[in-house]
Amino acid sequence: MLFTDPVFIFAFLPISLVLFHLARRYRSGKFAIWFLLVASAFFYGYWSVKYLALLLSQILINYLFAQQLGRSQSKRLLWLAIGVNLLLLGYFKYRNFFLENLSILTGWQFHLAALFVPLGISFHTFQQITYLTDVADGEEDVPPLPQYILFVMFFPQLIAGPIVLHREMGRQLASLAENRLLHGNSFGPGFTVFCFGLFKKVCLADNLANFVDTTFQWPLHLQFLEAWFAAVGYALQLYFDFSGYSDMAVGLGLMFGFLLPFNFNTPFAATSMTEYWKRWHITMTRFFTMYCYSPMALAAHRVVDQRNITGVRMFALCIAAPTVITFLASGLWHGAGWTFIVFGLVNGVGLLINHAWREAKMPRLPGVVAWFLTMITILVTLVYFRSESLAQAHAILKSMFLPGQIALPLWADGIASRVGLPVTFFEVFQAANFTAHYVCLLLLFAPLAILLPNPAMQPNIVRPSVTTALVMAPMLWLTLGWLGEPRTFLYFQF
Amino acid sequence: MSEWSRFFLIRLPLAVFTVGLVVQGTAALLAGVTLHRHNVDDLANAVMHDGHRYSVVLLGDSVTHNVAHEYRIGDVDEVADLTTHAFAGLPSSLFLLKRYLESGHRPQHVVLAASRGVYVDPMYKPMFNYYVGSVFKLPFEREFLRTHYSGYMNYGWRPAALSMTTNLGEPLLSLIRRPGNDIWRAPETPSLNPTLEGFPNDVSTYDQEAVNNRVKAPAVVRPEVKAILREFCELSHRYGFSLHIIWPPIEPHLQAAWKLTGKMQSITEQLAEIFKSNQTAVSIDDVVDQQEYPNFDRDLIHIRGRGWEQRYANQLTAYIHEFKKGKQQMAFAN
Repeated sequence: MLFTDPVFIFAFLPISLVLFHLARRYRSGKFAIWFLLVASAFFYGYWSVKYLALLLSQILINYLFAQQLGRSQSKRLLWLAIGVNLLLLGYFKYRNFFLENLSILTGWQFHLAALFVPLGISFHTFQQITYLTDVADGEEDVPPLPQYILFVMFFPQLIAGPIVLHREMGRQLASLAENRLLHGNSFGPGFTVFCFGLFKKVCLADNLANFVDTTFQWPLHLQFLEAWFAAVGYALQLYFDFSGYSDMAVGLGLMFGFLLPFNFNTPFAATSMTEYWKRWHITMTRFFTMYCYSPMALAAHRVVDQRNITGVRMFALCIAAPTVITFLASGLWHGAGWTFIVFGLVNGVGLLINHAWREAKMPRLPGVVAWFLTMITILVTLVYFRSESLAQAHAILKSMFLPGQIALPLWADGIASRVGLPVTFFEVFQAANFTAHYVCLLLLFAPLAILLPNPAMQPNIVRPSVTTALVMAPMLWLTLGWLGEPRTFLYFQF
Repeated sequence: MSEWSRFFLIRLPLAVFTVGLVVQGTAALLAGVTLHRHNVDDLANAVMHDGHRYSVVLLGDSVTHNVAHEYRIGDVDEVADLTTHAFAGLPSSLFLLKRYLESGHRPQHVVLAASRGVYVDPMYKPMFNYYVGSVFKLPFEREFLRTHYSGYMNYGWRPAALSMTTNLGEPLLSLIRRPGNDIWRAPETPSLNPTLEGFPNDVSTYDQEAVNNRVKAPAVVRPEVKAILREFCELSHRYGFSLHIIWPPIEPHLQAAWKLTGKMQSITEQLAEIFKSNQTAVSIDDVVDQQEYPNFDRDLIHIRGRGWEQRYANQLTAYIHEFKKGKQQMAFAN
């Protein structure tokens, strides 16, 4: 079930909200937890009952691991538990990618059955790995089973994050078991944040999708202008899509009385790659920083201290290697393909340059220049992210940066002759009204992406004022009008 | 009552209602504005107001439209160009012709120059309302669409605020863009001996996958198209024009593949059967039988290059003159 599905909005959500609060009021907190479990299972099982069984099995196995880890805090057992989770993830998500590449390397032939990736497997697998690690480190206790299952399966965050740490949810769930909601008066802000998220997804991201999809249909034939519009359009579409989803998740959480972490903080306002990754998909960055980068960097620092390594070698060991490895892993987490690995690599290299610049105490760049360079790097990474193959990505990047000639479409010959540019055939921009529509959307949406703060960051500052009502009213009309034709969320495939 | 209760019970509903009411009122004020969002809108209006006495009506999809929009087909004031494109499809051709005839125009010939795909492919649903449903709203048109197009939705009952783009944005923009009440007249006369562009150096004009996809596509004339063709026959009888079907140029690889599978012949035969059963004399001709067109866009449908476009324009003109001289064989006589 999608958050934009009318069945979800007009049936599942109101029914589950009413029943949840009734359960809490007239029965008990524990009963409300069981109710939320059933609702979440229905939410996931609505898509596939088979994979609901898989998810529940994974959760139960991890719960057993957690109980053992809570007793022994054995590192071996932790690695075994992480290995089991990664194997599961690998089997469902990376099997074909691995076999394809093995086939290329060895010449062996494999039968590649079509992959059907369980919804949100990357998200809930990582969420459980963080929990197991925290238990092994003695930082988290093992909660009762229903609370653990709900920690993983709570439907607002089940299929596309945010990646929640147990320390964020554990106390809230324990409190609910005692029939107290730590954020019990947040229905209003939650509803508002949910509506903003829905608006972003349905009215902004999906409106751009038609244009972006058309552009990416012709990756090998794009002219200079088309290629840039493709990259910028996709960046905006992905942002509104995923941040809209994340806002909805936070809003839903609040409606049930749970505070989930926010995922976005106007990332396109970032003036460095470091800042960008602190603002984009924040819970994923946090996961990779805490559970991948930091342990590696810590180990590297120990080696550096023991062997007295300094200068460039120290930079390479303590910063460059952990950064690049972390981003390669992050790229691979996003998808089973070389485009995703290169996406991670380019991000890693971008961050390295950022770190090196700072380490070398180079002069600080003017804000506009820094922003521009950051955005160019981001656009390059997102071209890899969106393209179906490296060849396609390289063709688009070539059109963007080495276009040969810069020309205007045939219909713009009047402008072209005035500005002294040639005209040529444009695959995507062959029609003036299509192009004008696309340009208008980008001009309208880009400032929104850069300037508007994410409502999920501080939901409690939303006031039930007349202004809020007047802002929300047209948004609700627009959203309802567009709701009939929602597309799937881009991040569901990860 | 808490602030949030007041918000949900009073402020927000009141704001939603007010915005809805304002939009409804504005939409009512703009309801009389003739839409000019695209050329189908322009044509839907122009066919009822144009004062020229064209003896031939040209209908068709974008292959023909791209050419006729740029280069004059026939002599001056001879051909009314009512071509559209596949998103507007054959329903737009039928409705435009019907409006044209019912406005008092009496052409002697109607030429339908649309690609085979228009007859056998389903219409593209996301664009259907934009190019057909929201353009053609006369009683006959609505009834026809309701009967034959399952995806057709009459959004007339919905509050205007649910379609602000359609009810506010598009009429307001249409007030700015006013193309006039005449049917578009191509600005250029095609050269009789145009310079024909060579193949581009890259291989981009030929895409085997696109050929395969088109070859695999079904070749059964769709039921709704049959209904449209029956309407054409009926109009032909009532208004006394003769109907001519022309297959526009087609990419040679695709043509060869389609010929091999027998699909080209099959579509022609299915159309012939419809006209025969409706006792209507129609000629069906393929321009590629006369001259080859090797230069196409990557979609293998649209002709590429001004020279080739002019060649097609000249060929259409020649055909029309043959019809008028009565030289053309009518395939299915009464």
